[in-house]
Amino acid sequence: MSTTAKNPSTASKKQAEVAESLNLVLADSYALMALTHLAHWNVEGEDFFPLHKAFQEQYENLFEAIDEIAERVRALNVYAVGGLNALGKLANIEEFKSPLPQKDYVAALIVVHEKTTEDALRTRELAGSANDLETQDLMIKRLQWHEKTLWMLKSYLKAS
Amino acid sequence: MISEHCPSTSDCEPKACRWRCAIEVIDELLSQHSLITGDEADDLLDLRWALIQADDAEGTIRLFCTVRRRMEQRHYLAFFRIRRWLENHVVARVTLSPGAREKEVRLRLDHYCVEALRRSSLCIALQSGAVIDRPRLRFCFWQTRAREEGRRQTEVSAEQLP
Repeated sequence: MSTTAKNPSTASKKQAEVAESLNLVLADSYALMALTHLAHWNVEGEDFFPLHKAFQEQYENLFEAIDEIAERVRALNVYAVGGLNALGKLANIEEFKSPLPQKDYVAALIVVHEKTTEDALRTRELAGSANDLETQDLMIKRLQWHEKTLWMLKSYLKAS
Repeated sequence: MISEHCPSTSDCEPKACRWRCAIEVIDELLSQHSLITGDEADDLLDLRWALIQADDAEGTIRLFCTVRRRMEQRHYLAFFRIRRWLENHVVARVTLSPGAREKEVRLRLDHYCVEALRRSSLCIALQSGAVIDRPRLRFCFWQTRAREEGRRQTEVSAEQLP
């Protein structure tokens, strides 16, 4: 039996925590998308073509994910966070200066992926304890993608 | 007090740092026995000690540059993390001429030797129309800077006592 049926007040508190945590993942993902887009535009050097293409695939994935995360927040009856200032403040991610050497773009994006992963992990745990399997499922999907992307970005730094 | 770019408000702790703590990153490198040589381990231990002491920013940067030149290509991400951490915890304090007000310049580790870093920090501090005459530059940890400011404030308060 779900927590919701047993104790409505505890359940709604847990649900609010899940929604708040989801909003943080939303802000992280938005910040990461903007920085990946910046890297896509400004990357230069001998690996321009593969990096330009990889960054495009990544920001496109994030763009779709952001919509999915925001709609999940709404499904939990909480308003989604929005606006560049609000998202930036909530994500609390230091923006990198551009232009950068191509390896620095990759390293800087790794750091932001790691932050997003940490927050998604926390949200997955919160959703699990709130018996919110839909949010948990969404976070598992996001974590799988972030972990795969981290592996690819880290492999690039090792290979070159 | 630490860098404005760090979210921590009291002592600098790895868990509060947005950037992974440099010491933590060095420990991770040291744990990879098969990937580092004995000489590299010695250099990393020297750098680790300098970071723990946090009393000689220029010496620490010099050590960092040496280790970076030696190891960065094989451990790029680790050195990126240490670089970013240092940039958020060390500042350059510049006086362009005797008697001029001291300026603070954020460190950018875009070069591989201290001399080049000194030059680039000086260039950042030098604005158009500024007079440059026997300039002085010293690198300083944020914690040291905070301690100095605290001491100065204490001295001023003491002087104001009746």
